Amino acid sequence: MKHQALIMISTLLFIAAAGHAMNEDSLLMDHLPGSRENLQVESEEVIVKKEDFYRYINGGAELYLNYGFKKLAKRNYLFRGSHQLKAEIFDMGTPANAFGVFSYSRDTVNIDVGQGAQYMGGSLIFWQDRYFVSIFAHQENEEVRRQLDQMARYISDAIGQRGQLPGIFDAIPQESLVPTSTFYFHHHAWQNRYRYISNANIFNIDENVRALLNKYKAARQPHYLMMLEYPDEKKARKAYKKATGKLVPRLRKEKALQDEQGLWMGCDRKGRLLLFVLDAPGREETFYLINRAAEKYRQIN
Amino acid sequence: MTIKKLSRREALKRLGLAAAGSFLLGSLPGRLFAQAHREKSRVVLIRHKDLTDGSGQVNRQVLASVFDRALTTLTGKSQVEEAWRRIIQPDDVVGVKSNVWSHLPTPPELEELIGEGLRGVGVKKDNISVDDRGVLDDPVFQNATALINARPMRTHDWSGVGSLIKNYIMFHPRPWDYHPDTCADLAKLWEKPMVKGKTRLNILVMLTPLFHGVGPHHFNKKYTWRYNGLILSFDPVAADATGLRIIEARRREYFGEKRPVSPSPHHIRLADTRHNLGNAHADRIELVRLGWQDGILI
Repeated sequence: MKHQALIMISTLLFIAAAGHAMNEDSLLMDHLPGSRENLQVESEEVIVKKEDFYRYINGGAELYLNYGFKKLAKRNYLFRGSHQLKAEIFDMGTPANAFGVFSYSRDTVNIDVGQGAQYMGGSLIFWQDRYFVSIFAHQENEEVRRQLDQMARYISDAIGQRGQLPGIFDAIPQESLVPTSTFYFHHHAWQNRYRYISNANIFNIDENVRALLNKYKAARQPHYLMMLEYPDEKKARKAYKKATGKLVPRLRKEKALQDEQGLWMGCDRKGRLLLFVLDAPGREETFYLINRAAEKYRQIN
Repeated sequence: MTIKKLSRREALKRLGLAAAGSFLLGSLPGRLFAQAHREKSRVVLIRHKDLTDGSGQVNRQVLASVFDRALTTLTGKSQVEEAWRRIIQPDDVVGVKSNVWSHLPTPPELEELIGEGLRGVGVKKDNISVDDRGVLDDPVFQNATALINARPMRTHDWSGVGSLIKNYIMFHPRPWDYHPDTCADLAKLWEKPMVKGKTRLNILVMLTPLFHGVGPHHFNKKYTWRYNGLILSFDPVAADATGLRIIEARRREYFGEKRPVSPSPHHIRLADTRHNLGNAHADRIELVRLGWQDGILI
């Protein structure tokens, strides 16, 4: 009797768990448009397992996994009987990670969908709340473009709410900032995105560190501000010591140095925030970025 | 506050640019590379303005012509049959490792030409297989005495570029085992028994390379261009390093500024300096340029 009761409880728990998982899967899938006139769903899939995701993205999965990938729902469509379209929605766990993947993928922001969107040559990407969305057409024309736009708006409405980015985003100095250049990451492989810094993890960047790379343009000189927010001051101090040691130890004392080409590098730490400026046109610009970011960060904390 | 000037050399050294810069820019001293003992690697870059048409379709006849010329130049033979015999014997079992990435696969026309060349030497049809993701289960690859490695170059979200070195990742059952440090040690794949010492020819396809990627599948036709080239070498590292220099040059041209491939494709440099697979430094590469020179970028 006791044995039968255990089996029954286990079965009920299994059914409940499976039902919950199915419900979550269908919830994500429900964000994507279903079949309608001129648009037929040809296939659909939900991917959760790491191995399946590796096979699906074919090599690029590591990027998403490093941004905290949770789940993907995708649908393949046939539009007007001849155009193949693909819509994918990635649950990235947090708005910051969804923005991170978007900021990695975009070159610009040129349409108004979600919390930031780009359309380029048959590819529409946007982020909203904790989701990153991609809609892709194998062949592009004006009609296809309109269809992608409609689908994006449908998905955006289905997601509904907007996500809040962490406070460090509000500390970015805005003057001379190149629009849409802010790139969010937490793996050191991306620190070279705009300008080579190092192949080594000299800033101790990991999944617990919020890293922002911003591009500025003043006096026709592109320069960069990296902002790193560590979980605590001790870790920030350790990273500052390591980074300045690998870069130029004199930075610890002097905070800014000029190279023979006249460009400036600066590095400083304020609490758990580490600030690194590279290729600035002058000492003034270097200290402006460091001090302004530190000041804004202090105000929000 | 006293401001001291930082010399460019010091800055480069401190930023770790010396090694990478010497590789990427080809302008810094070769002595920075640990291995300087190998002979130079010959790399043949051949281009033809009609190799693809406006839509990217391959002109098979032109491809056959440039492939034959590149192969004879690489092997130093005057006839294409002799060139094939220089690298393949009739009793060889040959696996042609291609790449099936849907947006930019190894062109089927090239796979056919390789097959024709192999059969021309006398290799039996049953002893030839063209495969990518199924190589571990393919009897020809399992028993291969020779491999031919052929794939297009493209930028890649994690390894920087999809390279000839990386093309052997399917010889491992769990490709993601090679992902640490953005695929730094891909050259170790070339030590696997199924592969080691078997590669007779590397062909880096540069017909319409992808020089930048967006979106989850990292592809947009906007970021390809008709380079219309092939790179042939016995040294996969030298071929990849040459292809990468072209990709970097195209990015500078397109973006109007130095925009490094990110993440760093350091697996190519490390294939040289850490794994001794071949030569990555331009000083150790004998580059033979053939055919169309407009927009060669290197």
